[in-house]
Amino acid sequence: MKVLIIEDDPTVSHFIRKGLTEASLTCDVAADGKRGLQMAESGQYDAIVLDRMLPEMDGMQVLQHLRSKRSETPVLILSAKSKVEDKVVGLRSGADDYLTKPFAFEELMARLELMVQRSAATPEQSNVEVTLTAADLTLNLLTRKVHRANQSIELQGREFRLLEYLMRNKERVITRTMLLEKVWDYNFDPQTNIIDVHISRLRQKIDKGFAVPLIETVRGAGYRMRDNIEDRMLS
Amino acid sequence: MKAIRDFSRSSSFSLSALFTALLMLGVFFIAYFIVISSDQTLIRESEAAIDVDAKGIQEIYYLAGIDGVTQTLRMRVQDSTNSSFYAIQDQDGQMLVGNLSDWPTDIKELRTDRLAVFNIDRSFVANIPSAIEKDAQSYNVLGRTMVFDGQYQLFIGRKIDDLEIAQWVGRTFGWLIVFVLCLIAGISLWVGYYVVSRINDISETADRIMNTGDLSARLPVESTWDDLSSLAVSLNRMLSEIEYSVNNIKSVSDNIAHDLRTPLTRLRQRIENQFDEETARPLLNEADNLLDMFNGLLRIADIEADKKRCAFKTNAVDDIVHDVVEMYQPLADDKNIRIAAEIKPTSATCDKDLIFQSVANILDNAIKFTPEDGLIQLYCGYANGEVIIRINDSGIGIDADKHNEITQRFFRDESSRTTKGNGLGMAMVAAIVKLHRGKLRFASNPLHTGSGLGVSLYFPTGL
Ligand SMILES: Nc1ncnc2c1ncn2[C@@H]1O[C@H](COP(=O)(O)OP(=O)(O)OP(=O)(O)O)[C@@H](O)[C@H]1O
Ligand SMILES: [Mg+2]
Repeated sequence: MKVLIIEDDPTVSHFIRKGLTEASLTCDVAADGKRGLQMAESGQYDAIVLDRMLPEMDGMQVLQHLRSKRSETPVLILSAKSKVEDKVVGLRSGADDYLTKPFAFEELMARLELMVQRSAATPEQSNVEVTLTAADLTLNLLTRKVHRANQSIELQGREFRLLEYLMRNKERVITRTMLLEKVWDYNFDPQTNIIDVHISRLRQKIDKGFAVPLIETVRGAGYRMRDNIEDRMLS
Repeated sequence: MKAIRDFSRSSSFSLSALFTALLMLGVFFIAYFIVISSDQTLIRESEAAIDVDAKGIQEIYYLAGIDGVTQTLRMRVQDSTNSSFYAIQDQDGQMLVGNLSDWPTDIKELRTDRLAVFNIDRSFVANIPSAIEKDAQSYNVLGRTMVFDGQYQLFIGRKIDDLEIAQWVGRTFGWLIVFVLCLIAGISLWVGYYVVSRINDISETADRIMNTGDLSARLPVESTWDDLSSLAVSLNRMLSEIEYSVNNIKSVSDNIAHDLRTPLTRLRQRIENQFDEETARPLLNEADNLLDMFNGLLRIADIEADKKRCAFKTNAVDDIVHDVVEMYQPLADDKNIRIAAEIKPTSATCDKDLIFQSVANILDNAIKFTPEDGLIQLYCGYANGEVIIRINDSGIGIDADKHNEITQRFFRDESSRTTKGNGLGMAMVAAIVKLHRGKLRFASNPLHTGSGLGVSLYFPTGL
């Protein structure tokens, strides 16, 4: 995976670059909007991290140029502004995700991976699905029934949505902020480990009594729904 | 908000009202004078003169008979200072003497001894009295008739055209002065009004700048001649100066966010790499806590600075509160705390995420500071046209004299030092409430369980 970072602040770009290199990804940095657009148009990147405020050319302009040329490279916008309306404008002009500064590297990483995976998936794949599966867990979107190893599991509304989101993004790191935004649809800062409490409730229902837990905690980042587990381990 | 909401209560208005009152007093006096001086005084003088004249002639008649009278009148008519009209006729209507050629018709209708004003055409005047204007078409004359012994009828008249001119001049000038005074009164009221509305313009703009935080707004400058405009010009200069410094500060603090984040991340990595899992965990937690604290402070600063309220929309507050309760329910369940919620349909113009945040912070505290098996009562609805969200708990509570410290940054009561937290939750709530032009109230022992805290959040439904 090759990532382009368009960011004028060397501290931030260095911070991102270092993290990405450690995760053995390649990346290039452009320090202003014009240069960034040129590099992005070459089409050799899998994802672009774009700062909103840039010299020469504003981040939103770069995005508009890119999208008007039918480039579909997924773009994650970085912004110092945490206001909701900025986010809405950013997503409406064709960005795939939005992250406000300051951010934890794990957060950026998780979002980048998810973004790239999503853009690689063909639309039919995600639309036609009626049942989601992860290892021996199945979730039916129509009947809203959940089974693990043929055992029926009762879930409440929010638990169902939580599980659905994790299963749709199985084998991916999902951060707590992503869960807040996607499952609860609120952009807020919980003072407590409230997400962990919900996850542990979900675990009680789907992992308790099974040899292999499916919801895995990724230290310092979030959670991951496991899928690739050898059959003999499950039984 | 207008600085001077009621024009009639402003100092400019009081002054102009005082001027107007004084001028009106003047107007009143002049008008009074006009009324007094019109017709009456001057006319009465002429009447008196005619009466005196008439009495004199009557005396002459008694002493010297009709001949004496004709003699006297003839002399009078020829006198160069004469300004009166005389005519005397006998029983047959024969003119004996006088400066009228004929007895004017309307005089015939006049009853004896009554004074009246006539219009005598020039053609009736045989011998124009030397002291009066010669080339007039007709004369306005005040006159009376008198009869001697039933034989002779005398007419005495005085020209009153001059009087009328004097009267007209007096009246016109009087009204002119009245008009000028009224004009001055009107202008002074208008000046008062102008000043007040200019001040209101200026203070409205100032308020808008305060409310929206939009420092690029400027006070209106209408002209260069009035003092208020020069005041506005210098205030605008001040605004430009402030805008410049604020923008400077903002760009610096935006950067601080990241500047601090990077070394903290480095610290985290070092800890992870150099220590074994067991030693690292508490250190990592400390580092994360530092980051959380930092994020919290930045968030509060963000909310305080965001005066634009762009994200404000009409939201169903009850749904938001519902979602908070649903989200925090597991936390309460773990401590076997019952949440009794009464959530009525409520809608208001607000920022959905921020209202969620504030209710979550309050509920988080309520759960945190309430021991096992406690009770939390939650109400959401309207009170006096405002939205009210009230969260009462049966927890450990806090002394009433510390209530106004709860919203201070980093405040944590002695009794709560053992619980987790940074003391930023309620500071954030206070910032959010202020952004919504609402208020926050605390109450002790709200559920009559012996202790506990009640937090009520009010904010207007619309902005
Ligand atoms: N419901 C409550 N009952 C008793 N004390 C309270 C309650 N709510 C707040 N307080 C007191 O007010 C202090 C400040 O509350 P605040 O929410 O700002 O901080 P915190 O909860 O300690 O930390 P944080 O919210 O940052 O995690 C608390 O430490 C506590 O002493
Ligand atoms: Mg708190």
